[in-house]
Amino acid sequence: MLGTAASQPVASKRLTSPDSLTAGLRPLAITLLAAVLAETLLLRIVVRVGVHVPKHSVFTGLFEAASTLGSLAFNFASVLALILLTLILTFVITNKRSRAFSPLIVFLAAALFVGLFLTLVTEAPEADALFGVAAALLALTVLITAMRVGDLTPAVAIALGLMVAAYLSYEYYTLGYVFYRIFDVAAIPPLSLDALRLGEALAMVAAGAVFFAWGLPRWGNIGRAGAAVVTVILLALIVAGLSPASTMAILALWTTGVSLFLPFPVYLLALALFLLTIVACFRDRQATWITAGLLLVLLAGYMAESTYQHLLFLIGIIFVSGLVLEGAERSVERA
Amino acid sequence: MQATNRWTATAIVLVAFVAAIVLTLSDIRLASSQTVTLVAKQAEAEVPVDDPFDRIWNRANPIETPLSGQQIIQPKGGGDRAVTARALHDNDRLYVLLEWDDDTEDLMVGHLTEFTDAAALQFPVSEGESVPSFCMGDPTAPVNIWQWKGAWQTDIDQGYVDIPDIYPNASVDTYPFEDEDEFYPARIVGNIYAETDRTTPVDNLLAGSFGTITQADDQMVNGSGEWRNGSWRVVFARDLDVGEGYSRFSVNESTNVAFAVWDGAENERNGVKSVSQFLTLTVSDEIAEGAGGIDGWQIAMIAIGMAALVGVLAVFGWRGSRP
Repeated sequence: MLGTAASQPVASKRLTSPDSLTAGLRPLAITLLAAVLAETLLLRIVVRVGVHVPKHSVFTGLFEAASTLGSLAFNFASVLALILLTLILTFVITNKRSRAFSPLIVFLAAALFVGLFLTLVTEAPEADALFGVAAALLALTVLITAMRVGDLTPAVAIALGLMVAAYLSYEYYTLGYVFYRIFDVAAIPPLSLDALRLGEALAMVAAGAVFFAWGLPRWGNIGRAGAAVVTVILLALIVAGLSPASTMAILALWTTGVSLFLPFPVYLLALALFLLTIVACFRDRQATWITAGLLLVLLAGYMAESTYQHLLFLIGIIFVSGLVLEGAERSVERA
Repeated sequence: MQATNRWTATAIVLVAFVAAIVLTLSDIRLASSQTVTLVAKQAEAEVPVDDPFDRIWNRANPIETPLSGQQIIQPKGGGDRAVTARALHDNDRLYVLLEWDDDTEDLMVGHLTEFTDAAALQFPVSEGESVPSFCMGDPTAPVNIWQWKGAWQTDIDQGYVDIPDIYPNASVDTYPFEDEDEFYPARIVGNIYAETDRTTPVDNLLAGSFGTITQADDQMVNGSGEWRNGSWRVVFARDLDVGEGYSRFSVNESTNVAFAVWDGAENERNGVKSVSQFLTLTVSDEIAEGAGGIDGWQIAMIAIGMAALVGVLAVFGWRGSRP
């Protein structure tokens, strides 16, 4: 029964059409995912954990190689994310069904890219404000557009909404300080820390919603191999958490940006549900874009501490919202 | 058509890869930080190091950041807390004020089971694209740590706390050589913990990974702490540039800073502490006025204007799109 349901998830339904544009987007998305995974593994995990490993000749060489390759993967992923976001926003803008949202998306995308350029060349808080506000509003616009023109099921809409809400909570925390700095207000923005913690809690709830939206309908796809992979990852985290020199906090703080203020089992459960959903979607050929989107959202982390992580999150939610295929289908029609 | 798009995709990937190689060889990361920034603006009035509650701090822009328990290496501990940080400079010195809630004032370490309240700042020693590991740095990227200790503050405020202060009813028949330093080996070899005449409550430390923390030769960080109504305020102060080997600051430059707090009442010491991640610290040439360059009504008008613009476009999109 669940296997039957798995063939009908709404967001993935439109992904099945073998159009040429998605055929072109697919290798870009896969390459981006490979680069982001390589960057996460080499830069965020190996280098961070490896600095505490006693180094001798061969290990020193391996460590330096990992560091260099991690930096290369980071830059590769950054460039690809920029290109891919431009392309998929173009698809969304040119989509016939969501055309009415195009002026808003064009306006916000322009602000985002101008803000991104300014943050790279200046340290002005106005640049951070422009980029941050544009990114937050773009995420919100993607959600509204998907809810309006996409055929989202309630579960998918809730999952997408929770992911965006968690992102907006973090953005409120950071942008509050940016604006107080710009306007020289010597005070703490109201509810700043509460918003940050609310966002973290929402991110955990979102993992559950993601499972109900995309994982549960594909439960039969997970299989023993998928369950084993998720179990190994979780066991590694539990063992690391119990070991004298733990990598758990490094993984948590550097990879996902959570502060662990909730009981640790909550994070384990959330990660398990998210990973099970990714595995289930990965083994469903019709859910390629959802797999890619969920992976990007996970790897962007809760606290998007760099412009690169913001781009990953935006690409991720556009993928899971199904809007990419909306644009692709329209382009195919025109061709 | 499909083949064309695939070739285009391949070309894009190749161009992106070449760009990434060029950026990596140039030691550039194509991303900028979007973390919360602690801004040290220029103070026009004197910043008193011995008064953490001075009104000058009302002109600094505060940030509030969460702390988590230290969960990396034994002994793990600490907990979910928050710290408020402010910073100022006067073109010669950097001043950082930390404020956090603590129900008890723990200032003594005389008994084996007594631990002091403390707070610390951590900065990278060397500038670079890579931020050191927040857990005490790493061998290739060491960190400079300034740790304020409540017990040291007591030594300064009330004089060195000695055995008779801790055990006032203890009696000693005879204590030979009481005034001869040779019989106080820690003191005579210069162990900073055995000092009886402290000049600063802030310990200047260097580390290149956990387990490597070392007292710096130069104890040049000043400061003071005061507990009032259930919260601590601690000021740290140091010259902006003290040369090689320590964290360096200059106007219009940025570096990173992380915070740690210990609660003595909870038996917190050493690795048992609450820590933050690295944030950005910018030493700005702006004057700290703190009065608000814009008032609340103006902020509200700008926010309403932006919301209205986006709202109109969103409504236009909602009504114009077909479900």
